[in-house]
Amino acid sequence: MQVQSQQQETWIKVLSKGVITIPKEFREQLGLEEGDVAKAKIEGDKLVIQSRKVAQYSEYRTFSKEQIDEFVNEDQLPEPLATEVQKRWANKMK
Amino acid sequence: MKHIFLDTSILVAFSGSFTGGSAYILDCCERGKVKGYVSQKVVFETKKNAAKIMGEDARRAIEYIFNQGFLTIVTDCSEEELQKANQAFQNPKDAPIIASAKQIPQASLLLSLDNGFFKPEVIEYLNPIEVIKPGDFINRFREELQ
Repeated sequence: MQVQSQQQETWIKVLSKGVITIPKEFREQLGLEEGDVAKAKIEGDKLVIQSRKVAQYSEYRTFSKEQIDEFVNEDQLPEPLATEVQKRWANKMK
Repeated sequence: MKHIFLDTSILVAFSGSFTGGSAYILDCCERGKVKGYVSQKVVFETKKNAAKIMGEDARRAIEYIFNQGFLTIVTDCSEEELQKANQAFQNPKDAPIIASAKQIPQASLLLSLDNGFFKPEVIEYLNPIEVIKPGDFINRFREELQ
């Protein structure tokens, strides 16, 4: 139940078995629709609910310089293939 | 023609060197020798990495790849497929990408340089899609790629 609402903040009532209603404007803002799965997590003393898309895109791989160097080393082609492909890309990227 | 799904690590490796297997395979995609796919999240992840830790040349190379349009960008996997992936292996960062590959009917191979993609539980989940590194792919299909 909504008691007080501001743009990004609202009071909601916790019902039986912990059921809450996410306000309509919040659902629309986050793209949450009926049947969607949302991610709930505790951050300090806060309960955070993320839409799947936001949650999915907040968790992505950030490769370190060392990891990229490892990829590049493992990816290295033997000659003359390496020179051939380098020439092709050099022409494209001019 | 082979239909292949490219992991972010392939695009990142390409941006780091034009002399590698990843650069060779992307060139093959552009020349129509193989059909390459990436997911929306692969694009997102690649651009994020490009913005954070790569130089100007790398960013230009990544822009070129996505601007030319020779890679098919598929929508991210369904919630149902993501749940299957999460049950098969515990890696929330990899799961959306691996599960997206599984949803491309024509894809028979997933190319990656990320060792996490070669874990037995991932290979089992992806079956019949095979996970393979660029060098091994080139060696196996060299005649088709020329």
